[in-house]
Amino acid sequence: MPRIRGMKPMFAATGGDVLTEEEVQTEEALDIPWNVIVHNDPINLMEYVSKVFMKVLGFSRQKAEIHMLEVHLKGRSIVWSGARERAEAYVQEFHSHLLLATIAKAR
Amino acid sequence: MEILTTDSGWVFDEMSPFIAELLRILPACAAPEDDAARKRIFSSPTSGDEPEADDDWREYVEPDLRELFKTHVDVVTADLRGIRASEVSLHPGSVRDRTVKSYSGLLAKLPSLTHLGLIVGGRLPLQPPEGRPREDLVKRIEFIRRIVSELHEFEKQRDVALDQFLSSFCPADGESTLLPLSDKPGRLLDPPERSKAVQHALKRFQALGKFRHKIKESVATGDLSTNPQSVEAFALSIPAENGRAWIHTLNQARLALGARHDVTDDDTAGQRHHGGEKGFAIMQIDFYGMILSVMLGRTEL
Repeated sequence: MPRIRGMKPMFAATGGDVLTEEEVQTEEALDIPWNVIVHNDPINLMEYVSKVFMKVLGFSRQKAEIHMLEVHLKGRSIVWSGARERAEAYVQEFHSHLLLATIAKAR
Repeated sequence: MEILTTDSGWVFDEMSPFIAELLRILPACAAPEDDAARKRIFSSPTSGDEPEADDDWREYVEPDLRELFKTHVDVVTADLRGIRASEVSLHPGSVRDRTVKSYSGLLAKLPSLTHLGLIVGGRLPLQPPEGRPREDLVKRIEFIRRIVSELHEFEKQRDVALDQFLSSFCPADGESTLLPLSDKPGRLLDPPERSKAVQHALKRFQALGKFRHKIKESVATGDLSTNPQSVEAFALSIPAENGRAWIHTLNQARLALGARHDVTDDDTAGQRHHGGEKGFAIMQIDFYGMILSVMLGRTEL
């Protein structure tokens, strides 16, 4: 799967006086993990969703199916948590496989 | 239709004109040109919670996704140009020969089945009418039961194409709900169960009648009377290396169709049944899903 080029971090620093403030915010933000959430949709095949989890996140078949069933039964599943940029990359990968995936700050 | 999996890929063989057409329109169905399809294919990465991030996504990511998806669709479009005329052999006495004759026989009966359905719904009394012998009613219901039984037998024999097509309009609930009008000769079930069964059969008759023209087109039975040894068919070969592009395009078309017609979990689970454009879209979603599932079995994403 080719990586998707060009996405910049969502809250990029803009330079000048603002830069210092932004850097502080970014360092604080590093402590807060970001969740990658996959949402249910009525069309995608369960088998397909499991396979995407295995490919994108390297899940075992069993783990992939557990998350797939969580998506199916509960409407969503947090499939990964961690640094924001990596979370963004995972969301791009999921979108390239046409899964409904979002990124959200962990609470 | 038969799907053959070989070392070099897949061969879709013995496709009816209807099935071939369903494949030909796949790229058009996958195109995210309308708002509903575009919103689903290029969904927000933040559920709309962070407009700035969504703007960045549209500017930096979506063009690359669009290009990637187009590449997949282009591969499929090129493969589809290879759809070729084929022929289904109908040697006398073969299973296929009997099956196609069964289609012909049933299709010839569809108008009368529909008419019968209307009679059932409009005039058939569920209780013996005053002054008429009960046996008369039993005979009429037994006749209907035979027709329903024949219909059920036909459903067992139909091929994937017809199954996909009909099942989106006519739920197959199994024999127990199809044939409960009489559990013993001359003995009717209790009125609540009987009424339910008659209504169920009526819906099936009406659905079949409504779409009989499309069914006729799909199985091309018009050729049978003049050429009993073969029917028009099509074939398509897909190289194994194009499997990913096909899986993606089939999925994209399913998602786009689902978004355009507001398809829900209940729709895809078969708990609601629709006619018209939505019913046709659900049938396409099921059909493309069947092919996707076959290809998924031997393709790395």
